[in-house]
Amino acid sequence: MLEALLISNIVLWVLVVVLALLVLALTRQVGILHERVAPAGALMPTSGPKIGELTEVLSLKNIHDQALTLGGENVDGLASFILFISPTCPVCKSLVPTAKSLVKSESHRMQLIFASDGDALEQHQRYAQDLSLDDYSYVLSESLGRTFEVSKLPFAVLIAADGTLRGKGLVNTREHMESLIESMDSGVMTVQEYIGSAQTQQEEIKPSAMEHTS
Amino acid sequence: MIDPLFLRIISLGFAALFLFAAAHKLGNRAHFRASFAAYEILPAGLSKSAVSIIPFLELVLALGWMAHALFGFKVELVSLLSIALLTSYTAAIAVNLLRGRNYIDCGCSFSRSEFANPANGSQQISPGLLLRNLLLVVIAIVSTFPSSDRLLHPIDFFALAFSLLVFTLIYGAYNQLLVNSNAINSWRQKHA
Repeated sequence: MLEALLISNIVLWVLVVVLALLVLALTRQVGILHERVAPAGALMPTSGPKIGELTEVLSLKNIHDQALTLGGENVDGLASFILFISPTCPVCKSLVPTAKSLVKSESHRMQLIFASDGDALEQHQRYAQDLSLDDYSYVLSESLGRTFEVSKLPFAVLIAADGTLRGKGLVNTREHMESLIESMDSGVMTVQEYIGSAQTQQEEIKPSAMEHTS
Repeated sequence: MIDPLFLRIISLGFAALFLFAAAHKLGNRAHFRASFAAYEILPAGLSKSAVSIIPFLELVLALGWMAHALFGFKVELVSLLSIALLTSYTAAIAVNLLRGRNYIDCGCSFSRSEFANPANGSQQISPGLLLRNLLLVVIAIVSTFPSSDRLLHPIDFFALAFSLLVFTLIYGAYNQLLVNSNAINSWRQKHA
């Protein structure tokens, strides 16, 4: 009996050590992932309207035939996050819930609008129903896509409440979409610009930090 | 009354903790001086002498705990000084968290640069760190309780060795989680 207890005690200790090692290794891996994954932004095309430009006012209709104005100053003081999607684009489908959750957390200052073109109206209506987009405006317009020179999907455009274009780009993940909002809030247009400014800042800080520690 | 096995686990644990802490501070004194000053607790003059005393105090405490674990000398002063030292660390962290200065480097012994937050190369102070130190203070207080005089068997030493190993691993994992949460906090805040 005593021998059995002794052996089970040893076995349990070995298992506890192995588990503790696994926990440590897992936390370490999470740490390494944070270090390796560099910030990613939406891919911004160089063609089309430039960031900071005042957007053109477009009078459009949504798929339920209701009138809608996009671009220019917003009377409700809300920024517009326009996500260009299509029933034939598989990535779009998975990105829609993410866009909804992202804009919901910013709902006090932002509205989400979906945009598409081509195909039959019924197909888009069915698509909107499938993705439960009834609470959002879904616009079918070729001119909207042409104005912002949307060539690849899913594409997002962010227009500030004052009507200026604040961000645009090809988006595939939540991080990409967040980068547009981040760019609007910080006023930094691209990741390249951000890294450039961070490097200059570091060079300015370095001499003073050296003085402090030496 | 606490069992002598628990007391030995605590003693050896603290011996290792203070030994590593002292070695870390003595190994990189400039870094320790900078992180001590960043806490902004003591005036500059006092801060200088504290920086030179603390690593040696930690070394003496490590030896005291080790003497207790290996030879059974129980010195109340070692426990009391450890409680005082750990409480002052905890208070320094709490004061800076209350000041809103949660961005300063904790200067913790286990935050080596390769484990640390890539954004600033260090582990910052956080409520999690405060909790860790509070737990250490509680454990140090428990060590002052009188122990029973049960004789230790070979199986107890086996349990002692494995407990220390597991505590070290868990301590390392907890610190890594603190570093990770620093990195996560630097992300965009308004997640739904």
